[in-house]
Amino acid sequence: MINGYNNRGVDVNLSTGKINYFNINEDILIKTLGGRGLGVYYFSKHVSPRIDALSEENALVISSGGLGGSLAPTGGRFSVTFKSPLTGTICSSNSGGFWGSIFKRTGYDVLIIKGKASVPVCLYISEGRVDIIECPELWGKTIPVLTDKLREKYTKKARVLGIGPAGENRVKYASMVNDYHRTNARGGGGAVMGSKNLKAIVVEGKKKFIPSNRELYQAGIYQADKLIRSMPVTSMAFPELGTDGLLKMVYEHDMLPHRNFQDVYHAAEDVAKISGECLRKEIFLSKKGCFNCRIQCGRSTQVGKKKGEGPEFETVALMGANLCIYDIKEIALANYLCNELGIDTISFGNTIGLAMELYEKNIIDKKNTGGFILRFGERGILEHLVHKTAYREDFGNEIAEGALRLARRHGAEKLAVVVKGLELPGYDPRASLLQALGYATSPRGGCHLKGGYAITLGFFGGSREVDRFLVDTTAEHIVTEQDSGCVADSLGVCRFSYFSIGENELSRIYSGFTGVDLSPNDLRSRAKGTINMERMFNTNAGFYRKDDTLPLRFFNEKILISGKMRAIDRETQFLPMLRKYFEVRKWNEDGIPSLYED
Amino acid sequence: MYEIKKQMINIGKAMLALDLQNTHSGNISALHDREMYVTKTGSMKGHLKERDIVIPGIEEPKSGLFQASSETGTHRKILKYARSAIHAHSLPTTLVSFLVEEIRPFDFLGKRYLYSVPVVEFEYPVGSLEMEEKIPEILRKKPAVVVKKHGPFVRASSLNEAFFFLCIVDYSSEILLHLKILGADLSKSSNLCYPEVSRYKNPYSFKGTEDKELISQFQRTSSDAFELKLSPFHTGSLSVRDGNQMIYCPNLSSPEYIKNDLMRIEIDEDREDFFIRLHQTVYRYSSEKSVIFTHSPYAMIQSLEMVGEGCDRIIPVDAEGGYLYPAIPVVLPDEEMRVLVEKAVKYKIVVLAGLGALAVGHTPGDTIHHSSSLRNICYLKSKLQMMNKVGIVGDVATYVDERGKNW
Repeated sequence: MINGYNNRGVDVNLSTGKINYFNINEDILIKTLGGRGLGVYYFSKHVSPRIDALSEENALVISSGGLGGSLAPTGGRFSVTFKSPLTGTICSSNSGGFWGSIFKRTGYDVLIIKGKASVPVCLYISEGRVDIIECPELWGKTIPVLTDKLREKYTKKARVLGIGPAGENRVKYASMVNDYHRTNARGGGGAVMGSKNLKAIVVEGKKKFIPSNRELYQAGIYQADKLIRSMPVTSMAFPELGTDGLLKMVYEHDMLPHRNFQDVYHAAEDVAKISGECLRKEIFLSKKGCFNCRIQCGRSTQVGKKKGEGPEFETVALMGANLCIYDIKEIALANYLCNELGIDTISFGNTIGLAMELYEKNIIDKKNTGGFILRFGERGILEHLVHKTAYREDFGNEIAEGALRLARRHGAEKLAVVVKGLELPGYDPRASLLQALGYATSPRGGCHLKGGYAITLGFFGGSREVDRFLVDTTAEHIVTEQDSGCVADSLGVCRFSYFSIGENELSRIYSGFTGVDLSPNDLRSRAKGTINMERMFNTNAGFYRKDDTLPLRFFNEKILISGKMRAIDRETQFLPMLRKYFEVRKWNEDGIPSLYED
Repeated sequence: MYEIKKQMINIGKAMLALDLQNTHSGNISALHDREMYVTKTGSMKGHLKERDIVIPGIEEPKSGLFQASSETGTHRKILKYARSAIHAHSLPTTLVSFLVEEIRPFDFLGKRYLYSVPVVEFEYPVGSLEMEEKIPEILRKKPAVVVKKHGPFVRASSLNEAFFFLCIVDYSSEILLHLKILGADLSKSSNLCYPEVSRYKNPYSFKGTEDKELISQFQRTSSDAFELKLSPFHTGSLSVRDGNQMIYCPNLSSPEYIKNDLMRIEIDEDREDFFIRLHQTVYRYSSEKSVIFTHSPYAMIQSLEMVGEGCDRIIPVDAEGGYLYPAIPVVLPDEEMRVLVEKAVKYKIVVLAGLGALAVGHTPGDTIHHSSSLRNICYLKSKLQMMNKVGIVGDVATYVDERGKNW
């Protein structure tokens, strides 16, 4: 038994209704840390890489972070691991809110969901109890209605993780939403839930965890708190401007996508209309934070009579800037709807960007779009498109398949801005080779988080700042960032806290909490193990070195960045970085982990 | 915008040159066109680029906050009433903050420009809300405050003035620290009568001459005075005689990338400024061609220590010093100007206890030779006294050349 963990898991088979409780070997917890690591471990063990992601054989593995149940700043996050119906890769999707913290307090570290229920069901988990409850009456409900109804049924303290109509309709990038607004957004976990007829998971738990070494634990928390409260990025920038505060900075670094990543040429006055400053002035109500969060980057907002949360930076970048829609209210309304219906705003915005480019290039027209004029900058269409996508109506059915499938369908694969089928977020990789390599090597495809959150190094890394156009040392930096990100995901702390703290603080908190003495390097080596497991799964699922690449646009189309016309040179920049990346990871030249240990 | 960033870049460079923080710490802010500019967190202050200076917003937050210095909250509040603020990790100041709750300088510059500097202690002494509340309040009334175990914050009406205050805090702290270590009797030093001076003045770009060679001599001397720490930033003065006039630099110690003034002044014209009168007096009553006044901290340590002991001269302990100057006279700072000039002419350099050192010569190069020699002499003697305190060398008196006592 390791302190700080429940050392227990539960395996639910929705096809048979069988619930199996099991003990978790302490070696597994120490080796994986929890969260993403634990999820990837059990997922790899239970699921064959070649299965159809929307079949009964896929599993959802939900795991709480290693610091869940502690008072580590931002330490209440959890991971969901599944095979992505969008990409076919393993996908670990992480979320904040309060659900993850309460899940750990129910007495389980991991929940494995397999099979498919014959009718819509919910899972109810409390201390010592897991129930499968039929709930056909909730099918079709939006997230707010679903959450309200389940909290009425149980208690107001119940926390609900569920899917909206998009998940039910297997939209390839449907999200899972907890606490009304917090999402496991990327990769289509919501579609996997939908494919299992699983509408929601309700948790109620009060279990308390006592730290093993209180002095060490408190020293770690004290130091982490001090740094988070003193660094302006976490003490002022995110709290005062939310994540959309990043927009101007990303724009100023010539990274903000424009017209489906064709360029980054926005007018400053347009960017100002959707910036964090504008959000604060136009629609801001109050700050919001996840469990035990000192940063409070969430925005409670209001447009007209409609209230909601967000939009976040990525939403504004993809559903606003990328589409030339410079209207914070329109973006916010579409964002509210995405949260209600359960849609990932990055993939949605990126796919709409592709549709607009197809439309402007006359590859599709109004007949394809069901009458929509899909020009860049077209106003008043976002909400309609969100709705049609979630319900797979008309052209929405094509949008629901994601950018790669949409592009393929119209013979324009090279226009899809995806890596391994996952739509890119709001940073043009031509403006940062760090980000470029991160996208190409991220285990779940084009993701800034799993790929290593390189913008932190590229322009607000403080003394750790790295030149974003360097080639030689980029692989080393990206490996470090990816490993650190995996440590955060596994311990269940927020990436934003990493702007102020790191493994030095977390290792102390972890060691004090669990009594297992792990150094910062030990944490990183656990993360490397998890990334190796993810890589092996992907390799066995049919992803090879050729898939570690970028959309052609970024190799072929030069744009003006930092005063120079730049594209990424495949031969002299990209491939050497990739080779070095494999070398640093100790993978062979085909990108297969040679030191992989099960 | 470019101009203010350039000024901040230059101040950062100067801070590194004077060793006022490590390569990355410290922060600089300024107000320009109602906009706040602050250095980026973790930026290398000695090598700032334009992109290392960000706009975090003063009334409303702006996206520059993501990159802004960790003390931005404090700077933001200071800039509500000041034009510039600097925070550094001056080592002597940080050390003194362990000793006292208020820095009360004994030297002329510290007394005149700071009078006293509060030392405040915080539970979180870096970037905390507590600091953000208290420091701007203190700086409303004082130009400088020191966070215990951390370092000074200064505010001013310009970047140059803020850097000036910062250098004075560093300078006065260094003097105080050494006097404390040496166990000097400071009862007499605290009663020294210093001349009145006007407040810090920003350079106006006065051009006292068009002679490029002469300008270059002044620049070289200014830059040397700054880099050798012969005098804190924009203190000290240098002049050359030009017939009935003198070409006068009132803010001598300055790196080449920060401008200072050259003025043309009639030698017989009555001036209120103490230092101008001092230079005029030298030219009126001697044939010297050039005059320099510096505030070397080690000369101040030696002279202030001496006041308590009733000594009237600094006798070098090192060979080079003893070779050049068997003894350097020390007088009280309210000594009559004529007497000062006589001693300066006779000994080439004279120290006014706690105030500074007056040196004369043929050229600016000649005069700064005396000032820099004085610095070395006093540095070595002070350090030797400290070595004696910890018992690794014998009595310092045994190292001085006896002939200096009768010089």
